[in-house]
Amino acid sequence: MNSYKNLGLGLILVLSVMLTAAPSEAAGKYKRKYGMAGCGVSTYVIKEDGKSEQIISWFINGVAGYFVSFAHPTWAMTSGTSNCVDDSQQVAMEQEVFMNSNLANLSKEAAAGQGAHLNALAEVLGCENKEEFSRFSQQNYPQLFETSSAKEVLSRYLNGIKSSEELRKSCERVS
Amino acid sequence: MRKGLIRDWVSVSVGLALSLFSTFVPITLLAAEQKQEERSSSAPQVGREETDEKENQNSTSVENSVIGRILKQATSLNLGNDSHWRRILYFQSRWLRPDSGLIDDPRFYLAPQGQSDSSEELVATLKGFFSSADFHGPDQHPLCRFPARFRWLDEKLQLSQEETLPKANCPALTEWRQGLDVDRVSLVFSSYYAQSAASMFGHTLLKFRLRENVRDNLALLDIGVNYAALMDSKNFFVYASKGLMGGFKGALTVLPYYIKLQEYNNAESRDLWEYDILLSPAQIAILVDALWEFGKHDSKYFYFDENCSYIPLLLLDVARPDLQLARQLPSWVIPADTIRVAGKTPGLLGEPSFRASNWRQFLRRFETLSADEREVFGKLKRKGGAIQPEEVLEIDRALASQPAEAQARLIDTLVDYVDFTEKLAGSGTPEQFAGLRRELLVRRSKIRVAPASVEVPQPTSEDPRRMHGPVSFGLGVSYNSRDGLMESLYWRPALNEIIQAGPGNPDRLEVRFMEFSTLYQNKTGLFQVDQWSLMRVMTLNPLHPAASAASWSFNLGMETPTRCADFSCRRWMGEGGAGITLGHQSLMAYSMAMAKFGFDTPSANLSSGLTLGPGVDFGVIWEAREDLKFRLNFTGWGLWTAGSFLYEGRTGLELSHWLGGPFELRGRGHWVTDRGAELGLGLRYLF
Repeated sequence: MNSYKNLGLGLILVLSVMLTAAPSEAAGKYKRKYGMAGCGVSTYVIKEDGKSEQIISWFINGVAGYFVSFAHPTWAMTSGTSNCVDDSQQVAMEQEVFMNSNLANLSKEAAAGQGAHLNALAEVLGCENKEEFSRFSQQNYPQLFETSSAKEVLSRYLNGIKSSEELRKSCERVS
Repeated sequence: MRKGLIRDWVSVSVGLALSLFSTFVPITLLAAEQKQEERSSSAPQVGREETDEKENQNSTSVENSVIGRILKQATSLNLGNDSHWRRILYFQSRWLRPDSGLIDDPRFYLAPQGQSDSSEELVATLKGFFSSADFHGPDQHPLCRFPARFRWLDEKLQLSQEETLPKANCPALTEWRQGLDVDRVSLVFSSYYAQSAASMFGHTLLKFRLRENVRDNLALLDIGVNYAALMDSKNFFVYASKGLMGGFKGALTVLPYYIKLQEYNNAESRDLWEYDILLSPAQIAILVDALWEFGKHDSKYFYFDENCSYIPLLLLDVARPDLQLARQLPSWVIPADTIRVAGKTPGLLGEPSFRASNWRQFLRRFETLSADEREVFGKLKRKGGAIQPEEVLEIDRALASQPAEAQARLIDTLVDYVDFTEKLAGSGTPEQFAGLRRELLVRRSKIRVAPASVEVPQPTSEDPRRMHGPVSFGLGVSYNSRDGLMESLYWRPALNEIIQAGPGNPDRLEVRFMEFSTLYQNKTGLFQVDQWSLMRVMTLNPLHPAASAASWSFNLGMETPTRCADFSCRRWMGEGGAGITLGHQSLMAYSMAMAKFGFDTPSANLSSGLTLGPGVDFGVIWEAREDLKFRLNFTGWGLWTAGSFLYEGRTGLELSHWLGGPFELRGRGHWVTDRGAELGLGLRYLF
């Protein structure tokens, strides 16, 4: 009960976007289609304030309705792309939503060096080599997860991957 | 089954009950939200619809000959009244009303009377498909907006072979289909959640497994398809009344499955059962199109029938014409019941995969600890709040006494404990254990030992496919020395009792909704409602050495005071309490401190007025076999009623024996204040 009772304050960025076509050329040879998560029919509500970023709380506590109500106009939208951001922004948004939605699980699995959420994060970051990604997460745990801000953790991941010899080659959705 | 029956019945009975009750306690609940309701029922998009309509007519005059032939053919095949066509339009048979479409958004219908006339809608749809009007840009042509209708009509009338069929520009639909490269669809049941009235009956949704997620088993990145009410109020009474009467809009959402997992597994500690649905690739493609068609339009959300669990079944019925899922449901739709109904269709559902709640995951981890490690666990789990430097040393010392594997096990268990206790989900941070969690995880990252595998075994006895029907109808006889022989009728539309034997039931949760029992007293020829509950809930959470939750119960409704010999008096009341439970699934003992507040109505020879007082509720529940359960029970109340003190107590034993199929046998023997020894025997029919 307690972890989500105080949310709801200070909302913010409502990213409402339609499903977009698929794999962007910009994303390189990586074949994965990221239609749904970032640029999906659903709408994401993300707290901009880094202090207590929460997304899930919005789905609980009866506040779920806000999600739907924001989502709803997107159903009625006329064009698939008119409200959609470009591909690189879409990738960034998707990664942020994923991080926001799964941070608590990710911190646990990163420290333990394996887990389904960690694999999914690797995928969202375009990292083919999941094992190496898990190893990286565990080795760099104290730095990566020093903060409780999902946005900050994500940016540390992105920087960490860029400066890692092995992962830089493996992770295609990090630029 | 006919929609609307339960709605009317519930509205009427709640209304009657409230009006009876409100003669004593004035209630003004419902009016305030009227304005919102009006606002939500207005349809803003009508203007554009009208222009579309005109363009339809213009264009049809051009293509007259082709469309004329096709319409004639459709009429001769009577497609407008075809049951599958009506399915695609989500037509529902209604109680005391003509059939009509479930979707209330006028934009879902191309004909003015489309919601009530499926033939007219067929004509308008065919005309729309052949319309060469511009429709203001891409994605607006009926061919783009109604791909599922097109699929079916194309199959019947070979529309795509007509040269005059427009080449519609539908980029959004193409993207939708590409984005949903679905390899498998599952029906997902989220177990009961006692903390919220809306979730007490469970929840169902669809899960679309994307082909790209199969190789690395990335189920988290799959897609959840969820139908939910768009709630604009958190007030319980507003919620209840609008929910019952369609005051909320319902809408489909399509969202990453990981969000649903965070919500159910983590934030609400609910188990998820995922059943693969047997669908061919072609049927999945229809489902994707049907979702596209349905999803853009809203409909009134009805808590009882047109709800979260009903819509997925309607979609499945569209995808697989041989199914009759929606028709097999009673007038009200309970999530677990949809699983039961789907499970009865041979070969439709595969064996479930089970995603345990964070609570079950923690329990399983705790089991991996040795006695020694449990001691360390007990010491460390108390370190809430900000961690002091000396506590850090303490943590280090406690962990250092263990080998690396044990340290890993301990930390994993402790962090699971924290996450469960704090209902940690998303990017939430713990309130009480933030410091401990951080310290533990930093230490964990230095231990290169893989976490112990904690596959939580499926609690097959709770598989909702095996559950009894939620509706219980009963006949019984009872005897006591004061009242003589009595016959009883029992009726409960949902959901279950803890005493109820049989597979698939939730073992620790009782939800009795709108429960009625009536008695006919042979001696006097009186026939009376003996007891009524708007809602009666009990949840038993057995104490666990590591993580315990309280057990509690409440009941809102009407009962007959024991001193009331001629049934002429009533007590409208609310009672509730909390306590502890010991034991496990097959043998549990509970003890609760209770309080009651009510109003005894005037009667011929007894005083009336406010009633209140404390009580106790003790019970032992023994599940001797899957089909046989006993309960030994003592309930005692010390009540202050209209200036005098009353004792009302009841002690005795009851049993439930599942006879197989829909039948259940009930027996009981009680000692009841004022009534003396009382014996009862009953037969229940569950459907």
